[in-house]
Amino acid sequence: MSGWQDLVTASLIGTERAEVPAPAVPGLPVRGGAVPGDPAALLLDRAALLTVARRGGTLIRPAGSGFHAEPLPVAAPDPAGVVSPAAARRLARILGGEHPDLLAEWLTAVVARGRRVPPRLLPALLDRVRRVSPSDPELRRLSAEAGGTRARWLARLNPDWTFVTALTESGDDTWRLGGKSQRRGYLAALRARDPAAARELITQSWEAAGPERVMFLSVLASRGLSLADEPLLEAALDERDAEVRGWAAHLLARLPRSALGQRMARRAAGCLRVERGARGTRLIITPPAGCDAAMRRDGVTSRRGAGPAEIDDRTHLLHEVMARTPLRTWTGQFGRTAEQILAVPSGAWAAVLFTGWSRAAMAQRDQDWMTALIDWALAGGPTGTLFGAETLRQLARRADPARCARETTAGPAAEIPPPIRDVISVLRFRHDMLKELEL
Amino acid sequence: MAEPKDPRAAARRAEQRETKVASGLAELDRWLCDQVRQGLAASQQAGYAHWDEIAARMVDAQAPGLAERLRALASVPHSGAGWDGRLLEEYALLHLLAVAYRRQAGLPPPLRDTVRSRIGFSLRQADVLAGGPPVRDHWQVLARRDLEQDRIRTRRTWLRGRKTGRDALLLSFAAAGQALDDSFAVGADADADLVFYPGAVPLRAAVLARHDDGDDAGAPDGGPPDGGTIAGLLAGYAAALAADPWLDSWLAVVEIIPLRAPAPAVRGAPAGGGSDGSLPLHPGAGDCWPLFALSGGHPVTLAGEWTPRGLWPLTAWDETGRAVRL
Repeated sequence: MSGWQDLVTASLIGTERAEVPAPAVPGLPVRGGAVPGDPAALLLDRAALLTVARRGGTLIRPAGSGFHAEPLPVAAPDPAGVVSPAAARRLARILGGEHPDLLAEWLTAVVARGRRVPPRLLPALLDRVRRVSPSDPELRRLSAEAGGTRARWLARLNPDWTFVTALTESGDDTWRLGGKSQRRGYLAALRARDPAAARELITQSWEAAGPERVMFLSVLASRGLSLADEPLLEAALDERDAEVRGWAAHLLARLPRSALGQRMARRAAGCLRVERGARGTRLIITPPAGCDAAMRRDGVTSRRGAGPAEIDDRTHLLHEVMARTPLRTWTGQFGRTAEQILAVPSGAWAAVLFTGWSRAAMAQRDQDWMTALIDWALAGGPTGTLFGAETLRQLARRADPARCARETTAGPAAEIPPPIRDVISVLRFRHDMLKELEL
Repeated sequence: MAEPKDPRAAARRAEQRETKVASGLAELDRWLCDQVRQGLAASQQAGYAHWDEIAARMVDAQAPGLAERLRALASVPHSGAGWDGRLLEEYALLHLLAVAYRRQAGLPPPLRDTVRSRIGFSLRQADVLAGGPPVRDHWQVLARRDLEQDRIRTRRTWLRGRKTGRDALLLSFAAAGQALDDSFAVGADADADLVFYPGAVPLRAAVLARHDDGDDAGAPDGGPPDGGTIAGLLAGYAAALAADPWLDSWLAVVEIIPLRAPAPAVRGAPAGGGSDGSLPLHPGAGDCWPLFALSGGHPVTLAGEWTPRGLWPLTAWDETGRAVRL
């Protein structure tokens, strides 16, 4: 409609200088010639008429008529079922900022159950994951897996989300020719599919890998860690690179049946004993005297101090050893359950024991201990320090919420301190979240 | 507002307002002609004050509908390519409103009601409810759009009657930070008596009574509406425009496939196959990724607002027939 453009041009210049065009309006007779009155008002009259005519006559753009909108490919069907509506609402809440740190657990549970994310939530999910990674490559892999074929279809439309296809469509070439993050994606996918094959690939590539060894170990950590990984990890304890040694010790501490676990158990054995005295049963604590080379090889860090600071250093050592000691060391030594051990008074040591055992319970994924430790904390246990509060926060995110049902169903009393209230709220949120995924 | 104590005083006030509005509109029309006489090119350098000033004079003239329209114009010169055409459209329609008000005595009553409501003569909801015949129907709640301007939040809820096939627009307002009316949930049906505000295209309605339990509002009982064609949408809008030339948002319910390039758009996907053309999505609606994610390249039923700048997508129905707000 060039007539409209003529009017726009005249209005830009102004009727002081421009003639008022007389555009044709479809269906109306053309009125040319001189019209009395204000040219500005005349221009506005004609513009109004043409505006309404144009709006009413919006041209549909038929396929292939200059409007080159390519039809999109059609997304492949996905055999996995969409999660329940309640679970979808939960994901929307997590993406909206409620307990955002539980996203990985939600996705893990969805993948484990062979379900998928509802398509409408994929854009928000992929945007979130893109923002938080690459600090969390595991989250990328989980979202790609839980997003299914629809996520891959979307990723081909938006360059921001290519990580989805990069992770799911990598072939053997990726391992040989890809960059570090692509190689990581390939290895993580292999580890998820076939843990032994991933371990084999790592073993073969170890010598030539150099700085990528840390990446190898982080992939081992993300999924499928087992005693079969021990020889590789035990050998890595003698590497020159301190970061590699640290990772290896960290992973071996997660395997209570590893040789490292046995060595820690021997170091820990003398530190705690139960004493029955006149005033009842008590835990007597004797922290390790010092840190030798063998302990350092196993990942124990030491601090050096003199005088009063030495006490702190030995406390720190106790904490380090306890965090790596298989928990059955204690149940075996004392002939008591976790709950019973925690019930024995330990005086001023209670806070150190709480964080030490909590770290061990989380590393070893020991639900008996995690439940007992949470119960202890909820019953007014020694979590008053900042360190204790942070440990409790982590426990609430790792403990099996179904086993903590007693706490999650009890109504929150008004006088509960904030860290405890947070534990109850997180456990209840996770409890409902995992239940919804069974629907 | 309490009942006027003295009908003669009320009549005097109404008369005073007519005089004020009439002189305000005359002033507005002179201002519009001045803009076009001097040339719109200067508007790109003008600040917000340029429109705020004339808007404030319309507030003084007790024509708040005009003031709102004028304030919204300040952003047009910075709205990208084609801004000049869009500004001319708005000026021309305001001019048309001024002319229509001047000649209101000669207009058919429904069109006169439309003109007066666009200027800002508001009707009390109680009077509307008492004045018009109620229309009872199972209203499908199809779409909802929340807007915020000048610390006032407006919720626009679009309904379509299952029996009557009529479209209705419910407006509710709240101060910023306060909750908006939530009694019509998108995807649900509402059995209700509505009364339409008078006008050349009666679209805005008020709720006289609900006959269902409002608590059921969340139940997705209706399933997706019948998706129409793009040709049908445009024909309906054209017919409505012929009656109300200022109408700039219209309920769209169409069966479409979204398209990506060159800009987000939708292509008609009529039930019988083929396509009856494409429509652009409103540039302000952004990337519309949730619509694309939901469709996956397959046809979907989409409800939204059709505007002169494109379709603003609001609701789509997923493969299970559940309404998803976009």
